[in-house]
This record gives sequence, C-alpha cells and structure tokens, in this order.
Amino acid sequence: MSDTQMLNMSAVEMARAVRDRSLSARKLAEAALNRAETVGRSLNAVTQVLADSALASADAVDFAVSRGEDPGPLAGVPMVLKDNICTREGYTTCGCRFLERYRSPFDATCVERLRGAGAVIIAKANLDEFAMGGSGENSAFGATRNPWDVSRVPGGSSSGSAACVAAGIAPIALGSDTGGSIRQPAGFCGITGLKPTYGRVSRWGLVAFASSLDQLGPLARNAQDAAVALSVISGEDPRDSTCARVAREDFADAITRADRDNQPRIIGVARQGRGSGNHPSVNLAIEQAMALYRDAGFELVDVDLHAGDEAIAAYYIIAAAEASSNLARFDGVRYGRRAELSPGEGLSDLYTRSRTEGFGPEVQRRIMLGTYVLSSGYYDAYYNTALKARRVIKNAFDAIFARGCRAVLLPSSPGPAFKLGEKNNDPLAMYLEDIYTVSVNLAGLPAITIPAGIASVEGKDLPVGVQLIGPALSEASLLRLASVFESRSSFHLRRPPG
Amino acid sequence: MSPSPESGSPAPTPPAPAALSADDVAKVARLAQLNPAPAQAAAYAHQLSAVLEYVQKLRSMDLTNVEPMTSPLDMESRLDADEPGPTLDRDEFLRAAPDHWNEFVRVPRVIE
Repeated sequence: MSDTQMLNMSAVEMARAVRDRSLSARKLAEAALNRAETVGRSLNAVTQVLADSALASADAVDFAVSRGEDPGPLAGVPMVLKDNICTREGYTTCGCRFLERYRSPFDATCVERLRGAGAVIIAKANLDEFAMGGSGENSAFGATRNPWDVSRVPGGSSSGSAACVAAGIAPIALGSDTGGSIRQPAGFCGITGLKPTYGRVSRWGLVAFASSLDQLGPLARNAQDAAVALSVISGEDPRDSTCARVAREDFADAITRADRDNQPRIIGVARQGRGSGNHPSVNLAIEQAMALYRDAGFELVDVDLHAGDEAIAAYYIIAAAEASSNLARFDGVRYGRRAELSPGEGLSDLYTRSRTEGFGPEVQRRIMLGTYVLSSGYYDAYYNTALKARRVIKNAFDAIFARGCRAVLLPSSPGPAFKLGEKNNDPLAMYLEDIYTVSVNLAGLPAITIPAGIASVEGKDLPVGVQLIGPALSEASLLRLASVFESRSSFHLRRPPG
Repeated sequence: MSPSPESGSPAPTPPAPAALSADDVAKVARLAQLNPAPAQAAAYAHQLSAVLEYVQKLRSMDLTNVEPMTSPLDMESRLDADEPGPTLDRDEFLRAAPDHWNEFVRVPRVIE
C-alpha cells in the first residue's frame, strides 16, 4: 500500500488495520510524519513536527499489539493538535512570539486521553495567535494556506488543524472553538468539524482565550472518525471545574446504530442563515441540504434565531473581556518571553515591554477592547448589556428546541474561503465572517459542520460547509444527522488537489 | 415564538461614546500593560472605534428584566475534597521561567 493510500484511510480503518496487524503503527507514523514535513510545511499548517516522540508512541502501540494487548480505539492513528493544547513534547506556542520557546510541564487532559487510546501525535498545528482570528493569518509564524487553493485562507483559528486533515496528513486533528474556530475552517477546508457542548470536553491544558466560550473538539474527514475522537476526549475531569458531570458516551456506536434513532425528525432552518449577504454557493448548499433531509424523511421548518448582528456584537464584547482577563497572566515573569530591560527600568517596564513585544496586533486589539468594556463607567453599558443579549440568544435556541426541533440548520460561514490578505486589514470585516458561528458559543451548544457543497470560484473548486446546531449534550444526535448526510452525498469524499 | 419571555419595556441604551480618541487608547493601553507605538495606537483607535460603533447594534434588543448570563452552565461551586494529591515538580515550573535563582523566580528590583 502506498503512503497516500494509507493516509487516505479513515481513522477507524487505520486503527482496525493496526489492531489486526495488517498495518504497523510505525509505517503509518512514518508516512504521516513525511507528509507533515513536506505538504504540512508547504501549507505552513504545522508549527512543529514531533518525529521522535511520534515514532516512540507508534513503536509502543506496535509492541502492545504484538503482546496481544489492545492499545485502544485510536491504535496507531496519526493525529495533529492545535498548538494551544499543552503537550510535554515540543513547544506549546499558541502561534505567539511570547510562547515561541514555551515547554509545558504537563500534557492536557485530552492529550493524556488520546495517548491512552493509542493515538500517535505527529505534529502541532498552526493557528491564529491565542486562537484569535478567523483566517489563520494572525499567527506569529505566518499564515496557513488552504490546500484547495493556496492563494486562499483555510479559515481560523484552527487553521493548521483543518488544513492538515484536508491535505491528508492526519485523519483527525483537535482544535478549539471559541466563536467558530473549529466549524468555520472545517467548512473552508471541506471536512467535518464538531464543536461539543460547553463542558463536554475537559479544557485542562487548553490555553484559555475566553473561558465561558472555549471548547475543544475534533476535525475529521467524516462523522464516524469525529465520533471516535469525541468518545475518547470527552468526559468528566476533576481538574476542570467547568467540565460537565455527565457519563461518557460511545458516539461511534450511536452512529452505527442509527436505525435505532428515535429522536424527533424535525430540523429547523434558521431564517437568519438564508440572507442575500451569502455567496450563492452557500444558499445553494442550504437548499440542497434541506432537500436531502426532506428526502430522508425529515420535516423542515422555518425558525427565527432573533439575533444576527447582535450576536456578533455580544460575542466580541464578551470574548474580548474574558481575553483581557485571561491574558493578564502573560507578564514575562513565570513563563514565556521576557523583554530585555534598559538600566533603570523596573518591574512595571518588564510587564509592559514583554507584553507589547510578545503579543501580535490582533491580540493587543482584543485585550484593549476587553479592557475598555470592563473599565469603570463602561462595564454596565457594554459588558453587562452583552451578557443580557447572550441570555436572549440562548432563550431563542431553547424555544426552538422546545418546539420539537432536533437541530437548526445554518451555514458555517457566509461564503467559501476568501483570499489571503483580503480581510486582514479590516478587523471588523473579519469579525463579521463569524456571523453564523458565535451564537452557538454564547449559548454553549454543540454544533457540527458538514461538507455540503463545492463552489467554483476563479476556476478553483472550493468547499462549502453547513452547520447543524443541537440542544446541549446532543452530540450523538448531531453525529447521526451528519452520518445521514454522508450516506446521501459525496462531498465528504472530495479531496483537494495534490 | 416570542423573542424572549422577559420582553417588556425598552432597554436602557448604552452611552454615546462609540469612538476612541488617541488619548483613550493610551489610557486603555496603560490599564492593559501595553505600550503601542504612536502610529500603531492611531490605527487601534480607528479600528476599535469601528468595533464600538458596530456593537451599538445591541441597542435594538429589548433587554428589560433580562438576567445577565455569564456562563452556559448552571454553575454550582465544585469543591475538591481537602486531600493532598500529587503536584507537578517545582523544578519543571522553574525551567519555564525566564530567570530564576535557587527555587525563586527572579524579577527586577521592585523596591529601591
């Protein structure tokens, strides 16, 4: 089997082959590492390739199999982690100069769980600095490119995670989603991206951006692989007090037993997602998704989210406020880069210079916005108002689900991937790209992006994604809906050129 | 369906200052322990003013009698049992510090 054939297998197929010894984890790791070094580097999708530790992990998996032990459901599966997830191996840079040489003294909970399930971590993925951005262009280590068209962005902030999965470097990557950072790049890169319910996955070891919004989740080439990854990383963790106390579920099993699906068969179609502001390919994808589910026996109903622009407004106030607080810890004292001081300068200069030199412009903008909206005199007008809007947004979702809707259908972005440089001089224009994703984080709900169309733009094929949003803890139901979609379409099988 | 069960009379509106001057940016930067160069600060003033102008859209929402929502979880305080457990090694943390002396993180002199 060629390297490309091997890497085109699904994660489930890889793990099965490694467990029945028809494929060695080492061979798989070598192929993935090689592709990360070549394709991954050329797309600037990886910050580091972790060859030594990956090969050691792969050998351990092979050794376990040879002794008749079961390494777990991700046996030998090469995986990529967004570089804001702490690993003992390599650096955890967050796409930031400040942490360029930061070595975490611990593995994140999700990393421990992946290793415990036999996964082989081959690389850390590039990202917008501290996960702040929707294009992948805000990384201190340069922009990631979209494998479908290298003149375009892969989306963000999980830019490298999405690009690596789409480019066949690894079948699954982990990302984080604060306002769409898993779902939007999954849409731009033609893959599946799942943002779990707030609290479903432990965030211990995820470098915090906005603590009431952040959530870790998988990006994969199909729903089944995403389900396996979610089953492994989810579940209670005493080290994260915001982690929900719910029993672990086997999400892959939920997909396989789709015939036992007794969930309601009504899907709400959000009025707000069908605007004239969308690229025609996005409206077409929504129409086709509606037809697909109608053919599969679902009833489609029109629903109103009661917020569009307002969700963006509330989100950017809340996210910036939380970021300004979380990022106060980066002061050049205990970890990260410390600025060189001139004679006579003191501790206050050390803070200010380390932060000014260490943070990129987008991070500084958001810290200042957050500081402003929390400052004396404006707290109530901005921050508290945004928190109230947040509840109205959540109530609108609750009312839709209470009416019997199983999920809400919405685009994952207003258009397909845009050009590098097209929006990065206008922060507000970039923020508006998040119009379809932020309300999910404000409400803490799970949502999945499904590859649902191909747009032909300037002679290139570009993927188009749609999102399904469900009530809290409805990941199994969403994954089943994604699986229904896959069984009636082939967009998830399309691969970028090369 | 209704916009929200809490709907009532019009919401209090955010105040007018939806634009930041260079002085405002300098003040906010000081609070945030940042010191952007003048040209950069001017760009931030312009960009942040555009964002603040945009967030005025919240005024169109009726937020009367709506409780602020700080977290998606209905949080109860979760307390650990008061039992000693393993911790990470101090030397590992010190290795991450830019400068240390024995078991201390070293910083510039604070008090003259």
